[in-house]
Amino acid sequence: MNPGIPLLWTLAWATVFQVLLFRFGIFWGGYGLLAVHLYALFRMPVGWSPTAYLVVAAGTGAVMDVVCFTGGMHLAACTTLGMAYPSLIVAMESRDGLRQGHVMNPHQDGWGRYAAFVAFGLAIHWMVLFGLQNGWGLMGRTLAETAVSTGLNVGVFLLLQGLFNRPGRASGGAASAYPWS
Amino acid sequence: MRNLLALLARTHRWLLFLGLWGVALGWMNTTYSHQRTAMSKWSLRASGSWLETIGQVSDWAQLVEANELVMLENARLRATVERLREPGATPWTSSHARVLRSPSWQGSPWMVLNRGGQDGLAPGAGVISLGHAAGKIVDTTAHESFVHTLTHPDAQWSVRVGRQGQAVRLLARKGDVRRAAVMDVPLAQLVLPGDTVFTTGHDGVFPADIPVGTVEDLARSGADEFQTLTVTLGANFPASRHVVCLASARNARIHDLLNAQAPQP
Repeated sequence: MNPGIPLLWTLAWATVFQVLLFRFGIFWGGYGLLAVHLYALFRMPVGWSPTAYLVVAAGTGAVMDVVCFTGGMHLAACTTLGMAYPSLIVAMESRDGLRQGHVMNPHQDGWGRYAAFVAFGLAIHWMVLFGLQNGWGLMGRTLAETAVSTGLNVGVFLLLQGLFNRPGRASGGAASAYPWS
Repeated sequence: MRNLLALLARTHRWLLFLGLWGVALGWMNTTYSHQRTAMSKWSLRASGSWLETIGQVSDWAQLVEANELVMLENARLRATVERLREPGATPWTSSHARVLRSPSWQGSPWMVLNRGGQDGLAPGAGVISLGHAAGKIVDTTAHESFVHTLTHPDAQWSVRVGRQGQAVRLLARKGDVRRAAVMDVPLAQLVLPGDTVFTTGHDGVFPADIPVGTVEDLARSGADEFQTLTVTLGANFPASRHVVCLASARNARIHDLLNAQAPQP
């Protein structure tokens, strides 16, 4: 199946949930924010052209800005994430390399590698967003917000992967010698 | 054209990235007042810094030219000083006189004094009114002197702005007995309203450093590297009642030279 189709589906529900529900997920005095729509962006498959990553990420950010009235901040942050996405994939690929259409997930790439992958991407996103919001004068607050929100979202993304993206059991019924297995 | 298209194709991702960032910043600019203020501040700072740099480069170029002029001026001044230090340099003598007629509000450029040739005054002597340069005696009778003031439209006077300024020309403004114009002041010389204008002593009428007036206004055309100053004359001709006449042997010699008949071949 074309890996873009499940991505679109994930992007759709993640964006809807982010707009309707998780936009109110503000913790620790505004230092920890949830951005579930990024979970979908981190499922963009390997092998696309770099421009495609940029366009999809920028489009998602623009939709978030329009719906949440955030005036270009998500667009800037997601554009930067989309620009950095190919480099992130290359930095995180295992020794065996990545096949075309592969979607980064902890079950195949390892929990640590996946956590590092999303942490770097989230850090880029939050750094840009909080940096634009706070300006140079509040750089310390920007760094703290980036660290806290990145940690929070990494935890949430790992939880989502564990809950909803578990690999299915290998069905080998037709080839089994035991009909009950 | 093909090369341009190839360049665009090769850099389209970065161009798209920059374009999207531009859209984002523009969007923020229209949405958030804080960001709008910050962007305006950055923009002003950047443009100010750029203009300052351009100005410094321009100042440097002008300073180079001004330095050359100053070197020439210094050479001339050194020559003048050496000449004045020579034995036998004539000292200046002063005498007082009362003003019988002074430049009126109607713009007459002449002044008449109550002392003349039999009182020791001679054509070519400088006249000082209220501590400021006022003019030059051009003719005398036995007991009257006729003074060509700074407001006479046919005369030029050698002056400088401040004690270190370059020598420039002071010209009358027609019909104006209170102000005169100082021409050809280099833009490289910093002049401010209120600066004092002094004589240079080069024209032989006055010694150097006699006050002439104060700068009232500056005009810069932009077409050349010079500025024109409007100077309020300190002599205050309509109110002048007493003057001091400065004379030296050099005054009389210069006057005689200027009025000598051209030699016949």
